[in-house]
Parts: sequence; structure tokens; C-alpha cells
Amino acid sequence: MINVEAMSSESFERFSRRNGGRVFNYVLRMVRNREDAEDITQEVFLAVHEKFGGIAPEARDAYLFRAAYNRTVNFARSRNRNPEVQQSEFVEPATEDPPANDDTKNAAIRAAMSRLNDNERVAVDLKYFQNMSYGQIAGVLDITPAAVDSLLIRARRKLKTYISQETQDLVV
Amino acid sequence: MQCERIEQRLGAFLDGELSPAEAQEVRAHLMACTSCQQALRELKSLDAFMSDYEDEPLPPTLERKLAAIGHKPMRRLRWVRDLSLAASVAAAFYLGIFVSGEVADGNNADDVFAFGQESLYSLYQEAGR
Ligand SMILES: [Zn+2]
Repeated sequence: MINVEAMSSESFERFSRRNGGRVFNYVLRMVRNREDAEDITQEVFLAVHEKFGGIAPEARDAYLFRAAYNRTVNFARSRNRNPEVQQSEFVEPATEDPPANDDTKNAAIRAAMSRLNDNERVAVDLKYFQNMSYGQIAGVLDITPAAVDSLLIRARRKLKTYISQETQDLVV
Repeated sequence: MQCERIEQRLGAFLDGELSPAEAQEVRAHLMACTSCQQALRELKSLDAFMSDYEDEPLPPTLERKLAAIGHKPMRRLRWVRDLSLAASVAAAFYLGIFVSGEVADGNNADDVFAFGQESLYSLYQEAGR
């Protein structure tokens, strides 16, 4: 769990070291392109650095992922100006970059997540990979915790189907 | 009907997001319902699969870029350094004139100036390091 007292005196440098990998992987799951993920991650931390002193320490993580969320959405919108591929804000590129560690499980999870709608995908990421509570996820998505609850019910149902289509590993 | 309602709560149940009373209701139902037990097993298996996701390492280039963000741009640093250097130079001149006047009696103005310049030069070197 997050130690709030230790966080209040945390410098931006430490904050950035603690969260750099988390945000990069989050953005990578959203845009599925390594180079874009690097650029967006840098932009996110630049933006958070500007406001860092003014954000309550316990709100910093949510602020960080809110910033990452906004940027991935904006990025996907500009990428999808091409009207032929506008069915989702997070349309995947024609081919996904080969994963660095050749992990087929990672690729299966990313592929399954790419088939969720935007809010479902973000909610799933924040729940499974950022260990956020429904309340924290609600803060990032700017919706109620009850809405997060129903988002996750739908998303889990879809994920189960998509993952079993992507791989045989999941015992259903 | 009851099963449908309970099944909707299983995710929040696993996530620890139910009130104690709701969680108790789900637990009681699970004791008696094999169909909901099966639904819970499937959910747990999904959660286990997702938790196997391995984060990719932070690319070193990005790591360096992120580490640089906390630091002030060079321009501002140089300005601060020049200000403190100016103060040191003023002190050196004052000290130079004072020491020259005190110890080396009969030194002319050129010697005093030379001493001051030497101090200034070494200070510049130090500041530049
Ligand atoms: Zn049941």
C-alpha cells in the first residue's frame, strides 16, 4: 500500500523514478507503439512537474494517471484524424511493435485490452496494473465509483472472452 | 434471479469493494450455489492471468530524459553562478587592495591591479569547474 506520510516529503525526482516505469507501461498498453509511448511519457512528467508543488501528495498518483489518460486520448485523436479508422479513440496501429521480451502473454493481454472501449480499457489498467481502488479510478476517469463498478463488470466479461480467443492458457 | 444479482457483485467482492454486509451476503450465497462458485473461479482465473503481465523495462533514453526534468535549465544556473561570481570578484578586489596596501608597502597601483586580476582569474577557473 502507499505510505502517505512518506509521500508528502517525496521530491519530484523520487516521484518520477517511482512512477516512470508504471506510466511508460500504461501508455504503451494504450497506444501500443514504443516510440510514441516514450514521447507521451516524457510529456506527462513535464506537465506534472509544472504543477507538482501544488498537488496534494495523496492526489499525485491520480493526477499523474489523469495526465497520462488525457495525453493518450489526445494522441489517439490526432492519430485517428484519418476518418477511415475512427471507430475508437485508441485504434491500434496496423502492426504492433514486437514486444521487447517476446512475451506472448503480454501481447495477448494487450490485444484483448485493445478490443475494449476507451473507458473500459483505462479502468482495467488502473485496477489490474496500478492497483487503484474504485474511488481512485473514478477520480482519474471523472466518473462515480458506481460507474467504475459497472464498467469493470462489463470489461471483465469481455476480457474473459477476448483472452480465450487470443490464447488457450486461460482455463474457462 | 438471485444468482444474476450475486454474479454482478463478484468482481467488486474480489476487489474488496463491497460493504461488510454485502460481502457477507455474497459469501452466504456462494456457500450454497455451485453455479456462482464456478463464476467466481472464472473471475479469479482471469485476475490471475492479468496479474502475470510483465512490465517492460523503462528504456534508458527515456529514463535519462525523465531524470533531467527535475533539474533547472542551464541558462538559469549560469545566471545564478555569475551573480555569486560577481560578489566574489568584488570581495577579491577589496581583499587584494587591502592585502597589497597592508603587507607590501610601497607597491604601486599596477601591482594591486595585477593581484586583483590574478584572484579574478582563479575565481573564474573555480566557478567554471
Ligand atoms: Zn448463484
